[in-house]
Amino acid sequence: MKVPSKVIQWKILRYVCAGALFAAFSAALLQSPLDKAVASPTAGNVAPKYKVDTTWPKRLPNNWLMGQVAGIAVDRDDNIWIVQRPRSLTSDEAGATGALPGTDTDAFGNPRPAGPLADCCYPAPSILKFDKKGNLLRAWGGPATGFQDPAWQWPENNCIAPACEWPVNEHGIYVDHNDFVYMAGNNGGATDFDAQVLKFSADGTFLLQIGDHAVNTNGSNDTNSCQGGTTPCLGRPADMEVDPETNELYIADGYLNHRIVVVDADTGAYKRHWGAYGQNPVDDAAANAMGPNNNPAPGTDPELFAPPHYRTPVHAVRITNDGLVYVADRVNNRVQVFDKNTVGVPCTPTGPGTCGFVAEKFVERDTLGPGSVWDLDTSPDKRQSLLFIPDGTNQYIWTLLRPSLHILARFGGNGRNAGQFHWVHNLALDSHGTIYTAEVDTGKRAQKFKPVGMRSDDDDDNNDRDDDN
Amino acid sequence: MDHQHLAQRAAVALLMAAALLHAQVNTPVQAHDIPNEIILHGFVKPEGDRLHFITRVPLIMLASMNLAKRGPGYLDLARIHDPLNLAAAAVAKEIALFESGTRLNPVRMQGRIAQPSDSSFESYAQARASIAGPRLPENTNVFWNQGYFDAHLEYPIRSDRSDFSLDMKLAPGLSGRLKMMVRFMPPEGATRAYELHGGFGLVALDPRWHQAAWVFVKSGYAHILDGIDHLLFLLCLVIPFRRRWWDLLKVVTAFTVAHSITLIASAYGMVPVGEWFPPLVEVLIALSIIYMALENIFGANLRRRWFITGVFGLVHGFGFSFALKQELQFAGDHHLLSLLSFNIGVELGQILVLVLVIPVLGLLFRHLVAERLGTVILSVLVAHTGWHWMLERAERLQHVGWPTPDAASVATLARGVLLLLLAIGAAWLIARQLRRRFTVQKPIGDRDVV
Repeated sequence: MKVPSKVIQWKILRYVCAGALFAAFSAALLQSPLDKAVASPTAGNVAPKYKVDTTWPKRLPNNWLMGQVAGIAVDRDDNIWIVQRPRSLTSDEAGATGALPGTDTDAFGNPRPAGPLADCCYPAPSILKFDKKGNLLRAWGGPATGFQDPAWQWPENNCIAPACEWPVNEHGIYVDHNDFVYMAGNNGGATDFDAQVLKFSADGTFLLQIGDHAVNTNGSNDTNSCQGGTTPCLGRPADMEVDPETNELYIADGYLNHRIVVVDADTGAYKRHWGAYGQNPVDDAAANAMGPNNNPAPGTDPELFAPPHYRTPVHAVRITNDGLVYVADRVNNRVQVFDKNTVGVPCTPTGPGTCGFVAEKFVERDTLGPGSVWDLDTSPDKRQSLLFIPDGTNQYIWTLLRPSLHILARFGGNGRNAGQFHWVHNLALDSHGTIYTAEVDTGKRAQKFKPVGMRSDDDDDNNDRDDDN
Repeated sequence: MDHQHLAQRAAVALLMAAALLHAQVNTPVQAHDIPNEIILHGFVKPEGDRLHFITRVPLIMLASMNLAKRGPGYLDLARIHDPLNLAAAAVAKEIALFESGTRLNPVRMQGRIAQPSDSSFESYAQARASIAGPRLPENTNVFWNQGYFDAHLEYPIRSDRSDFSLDMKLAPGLSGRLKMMVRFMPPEGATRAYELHGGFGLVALDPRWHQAAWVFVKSGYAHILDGIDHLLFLLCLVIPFRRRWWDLLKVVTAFTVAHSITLIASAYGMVPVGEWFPPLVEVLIALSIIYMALENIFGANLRRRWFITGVFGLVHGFGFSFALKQELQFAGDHHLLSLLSFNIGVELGQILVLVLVIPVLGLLFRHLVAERLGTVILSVLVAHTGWHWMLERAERLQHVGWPTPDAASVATLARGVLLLLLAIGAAWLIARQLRRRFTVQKPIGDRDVV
């Protein structure tokens, strides 16, 4: 039967109108909760959801390859800085390196009797600066002259001993409000241990050293015994951050000492220091006996284990806009919070709850081995409402609500694919809430995670909120 | 160092920095490099008989002045007052200000050094107060290439309501790597923000309607002639309509109306903001070329071509909007007029192309190859090009972050569907009215299928 064309036309018009109405209705219905979620990222205690960006970073120039990434920081322009360990590359990873003249080994001592092993790669310089698209913007620093080969095309080395002692094992990086770059070293051993923090300009010019390599006078209570009596001696420092209000440098000190020490960021001169619960002194027999990876005695209830001292390493320190200081007590699986204005003064009387101590939070408290609280950073909203913690033992990024230290979510998981982690060591957030992570051991990479809306219970297959415990 | 020598150095300093920047484009990263992007800031404020120009220049731009230093490379703030005055003069030379076409000369200049963390340039009042306020303590550690040189320049003017314009002469050709964010604050009306680089030439800071219209007609005209993908789409459209002017007018009008709708919608922010959207549009543009070429090859009902042309026109309009995004800053108060002017420019460019292409096609089909065979050959060539574009663009599309199917993306999608349906409904109604008004001159038979 032939249907009049006019009837068909009106049918089409009806469908179009119905579709338009439905679309308008859907848009109106969904607008309201969406706007609420965007306006308040923690509305309903829901954590943001993240998606890995596999395009970041881009391939390095000059046939360079990164080793273990032992620190990551975002500067005020949202550029990303990492410190990586060229000497952590295996012989075959640095396969393009050839024998130094007159020897049969490369600059790192890898055997090269018949020349380079392969086309790839040369070690990259230690300090690398990327933009948010993953382009390499700057590269400098690395083991001192004598460890390098001109073929690697490293920029001129500005860290010349004895004034500047490049650490044996690079650890931690921070870029301050005036673009100055700080890094530390944590190498162990009896005679060649790192005990210094270095300060550079953004272009890699050496400016200041705090502490002397392999000198640990007075342990965790030293004030100004190093650099000719102008800076404190350190003990395998791990991380640092500058308070822009006072231009003071807070150092997580470290793998040997058990303290946070504060110095003048321009001169390195000692200001104050403290240990767990704000106590002072902080070195005692129990603390010294329980170093990294030494677990509590068998039979100890992990839910009750809360030593009065920091266990090494004191691995990270962060300052928030509301005057709090967060300390990562890595192997004790806890973060401790202090009042910036009252912590670090002589502590009388002793005991928890005094001396600037505000709160502590255990994360995955029964974790053994290297511990669960490796680093700290906050969300970029004005209230810094979220606290992010990388856990290099369980291989998650934990999301906490900062005011209550309530655990909201975790993401990641153990693995070598994009978005998974092996020994996730540090993280840093930019002004848009993008998370950048750094991995050590055999991880040897940095990753980027972009916020993609809010989590829901449906996609929470590996969630571990405090509510669920 | 004597003043004359310093003055010479100051004058060339900014250009030297630009040259270094240029040299760094394709070289591996170096220790003492010039940053990838240098951003200057400026406020232009006419006030009574004075024009105030307050600018912030990254210190790296003064590298060639070799300002006095102390220690490992900190500026010796006690010994750089005179050179800073010369630097202010160099800034006035490279960033020229005009009142009604006449170049202005500063009568008062003041400069100071600011730390990288100094945030006073968030507002005009703060920036002006900061430059007039106390200098940094002389023992402040400002590294020689980290921080800013802030300057306040005053120019005598006839009236604060004159037409003012600015010409940034610095490093033309380095757009994207060296740019200046300018905020013009007229005595009445809203502040206007501009992102300028050396290639723009003279920019009217508060354009009249005819100035804005002319800028955008030129821009639209240049864009269509520069956009080879739009031109290929146009070519595919017109091949079968060579001698059928009425149908040609219909498809070209459908394309124009459709791309105007999405262009204007984009300019008013009614498009998705995700990074996936521009590459998706680029892929769809390539797809539109392939589709149109295949339709020419395998035959199509040309009577309905205006409709599919309209749908693809919506996509091309988004493509135009990406080109227009940076230039809308020059619209002043004349936002809609500028958009329409851009469209007029695009149409003028299209007409020029049609006027050139249609006679050439006529000659081709008359003397070289039969019309049907020629149509197939041309369309195959175009489809081949479109295919490669689509593959290249699809690869870029794979690397962008897609929105997850949450409430936000569903709402965005619903709004998009709403707009699309409304556009289709409107087009359908208009076409229905037109069909009623104009009777078709001849019946459309099998020969309409090429």
